[in-house]
Amino acid sequence: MRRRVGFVPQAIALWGHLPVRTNLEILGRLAGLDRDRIAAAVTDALAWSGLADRAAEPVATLSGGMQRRINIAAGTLHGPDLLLLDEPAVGLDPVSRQAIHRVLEGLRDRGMGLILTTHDLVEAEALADRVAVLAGGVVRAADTIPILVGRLFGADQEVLLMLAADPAPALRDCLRTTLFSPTNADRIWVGRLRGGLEQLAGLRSQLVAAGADIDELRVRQPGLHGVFVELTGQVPNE
Amino acid sequence: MTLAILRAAFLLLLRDRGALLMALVVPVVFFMIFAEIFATAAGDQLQLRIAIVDEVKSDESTRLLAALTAEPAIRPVPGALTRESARDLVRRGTADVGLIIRADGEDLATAAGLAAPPLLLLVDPSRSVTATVLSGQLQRAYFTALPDLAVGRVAELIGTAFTTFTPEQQAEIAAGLKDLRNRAGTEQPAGWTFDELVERDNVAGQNAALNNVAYYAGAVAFMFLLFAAAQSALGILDDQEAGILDRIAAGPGGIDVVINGRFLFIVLQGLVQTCLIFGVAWLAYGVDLPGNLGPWAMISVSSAVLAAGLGLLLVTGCQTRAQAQVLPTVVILIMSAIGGSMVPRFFMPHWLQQLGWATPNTWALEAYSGVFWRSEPALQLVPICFSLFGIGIAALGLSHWLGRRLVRD
Repeated sequence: MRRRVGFVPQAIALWGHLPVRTNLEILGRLAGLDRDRIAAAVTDALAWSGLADRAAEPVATLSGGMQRRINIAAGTLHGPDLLLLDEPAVGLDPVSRQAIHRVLEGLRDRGMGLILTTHDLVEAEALADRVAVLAGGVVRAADTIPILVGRLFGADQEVLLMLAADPAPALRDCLRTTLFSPTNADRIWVGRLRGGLEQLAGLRSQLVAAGADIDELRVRQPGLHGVFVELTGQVPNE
Repeated sequence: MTLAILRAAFLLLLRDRGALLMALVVPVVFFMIFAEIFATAAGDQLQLRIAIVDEVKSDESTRLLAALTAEPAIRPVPGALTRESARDLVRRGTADVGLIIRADGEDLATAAGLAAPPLLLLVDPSRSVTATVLSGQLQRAYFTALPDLAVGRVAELIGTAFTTFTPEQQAEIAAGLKDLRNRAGTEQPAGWTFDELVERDNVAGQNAALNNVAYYAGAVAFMFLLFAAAQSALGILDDQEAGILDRIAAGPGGIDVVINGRFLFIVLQGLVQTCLIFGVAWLAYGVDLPGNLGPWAMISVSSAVLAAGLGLLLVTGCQTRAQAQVLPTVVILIMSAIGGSMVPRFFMPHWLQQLGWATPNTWALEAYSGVFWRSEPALQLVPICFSLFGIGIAALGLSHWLGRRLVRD
């Protein structure tokens, strides 16, 4: 079973002072590869990760993005059917993050199943065929994003309300009756807009009349962000 | 502002148990150990284990031994001994020195230096200081228990050197002097010293003069074997912090390959280290390594196995890296001090010598001593080597068990 699964930890789990190629050779052996197959697997991994020309350099001297790519390559040397990745692009700049995403898409195109944990909903939405929302150690929902959106929002749109001040009790009652839900931030509420955008002005007037000092009222097509907020009541950092 | 830094440093020290241990507890423990050792070695508390054999069992020999064994520094090895068994005890290190009142020597009461002295000391040259201490104690016991003999000898000496003799006596002296002149160079000069009563016999192997070098080669090699093992074992915690351990543990070999691989590395590293130290002892000091290659290799391999297992056990038993940097160092330093890697154990008080047997240092040093001092056959070293090897493997097994804690669920 272990030979069919690959694992990419969140940390750069490599020997920083050893060259890239040596790291891959040792980790390939530890992943159960025969001596004969290691050289080919390492050459292949260096090629698709775009680091063939840096193979002789110590890992510690590479950029963060390159180290992340080698980190992923090290988990795939034995050609697993399934690859588990723990936040593979955490802490990277947008360009490096894109490079990691391309690497992951390349692996998926090779037929490798990927299970990826992330706090980045944009990343999950861009990469995932199916998502599972985990909160408090419990899987709240698991399916494709369109099905989750359809199940939670139907034809409604997602509304994000940001208040300039903490809401008074009367305003809280009003928000609840207008299908808003509280989040982990007291001034941020999420809700849904029924009947199209033309209903937005009426909703705004209703909230102002209830005493809301509105900082921002955002309407958007519901996606993974809305699903997450609906399921967990938490607004992720964007 | 300076006081703020002082406060921060103080609070950090209080929170870091390892640093606290190293700063406040370890120095005191070390002081106590070395105070015990050197108060004994330099003061009047040195206790010698002596293998005593009275082959004569005369009135004089009985009185002498009674006075000698009444000395607090003398601790006779119990049991009825023969000359050979006493020699064996000294060779094995069970006794520090042997004392034979021998039947084949001159009489204790009348010894005149014309035949073998009545007292024979069995000495291991690596512990020659023990013979010197025993000689002093023996001399004290002699003058205490046998004053009639001692005064008689002195009177005889004074009578010979300082009194006025009659003409008849002078003629006799002249004849005696003529006789002495004829024998000049073939016998000891006239007069008497206590040393005439004592002969020393080396019980060690042929390379006795090099015993101290061989002792310290073994002592230093084993101590640094332990330090290097603990240092290398720390690499497991480095791998854990880097996430490498999780990655490897998720593979087909699991955590076991990490522990086993590290164990083999430490054993090989230890062997290289031991080869280097004994190589220098051989090339620079003439310790007979080629002549004892087989037994030496047997001890070195089992010592390296023990050190590797112990190093891994100490490190995997720690909760944090900071702890793993301090605890093994403390344990190894204390084991080395008690076990004889820093100061030979015969300098230590009896209770500390006994405690030494709880440390692998003592076992390894006894094994090396068996080879280089006592020229023991390899078969005789098997039990110690087997024990060292077995404990090392047992420690490896425990490390496997503890190592599983290091991998995150």
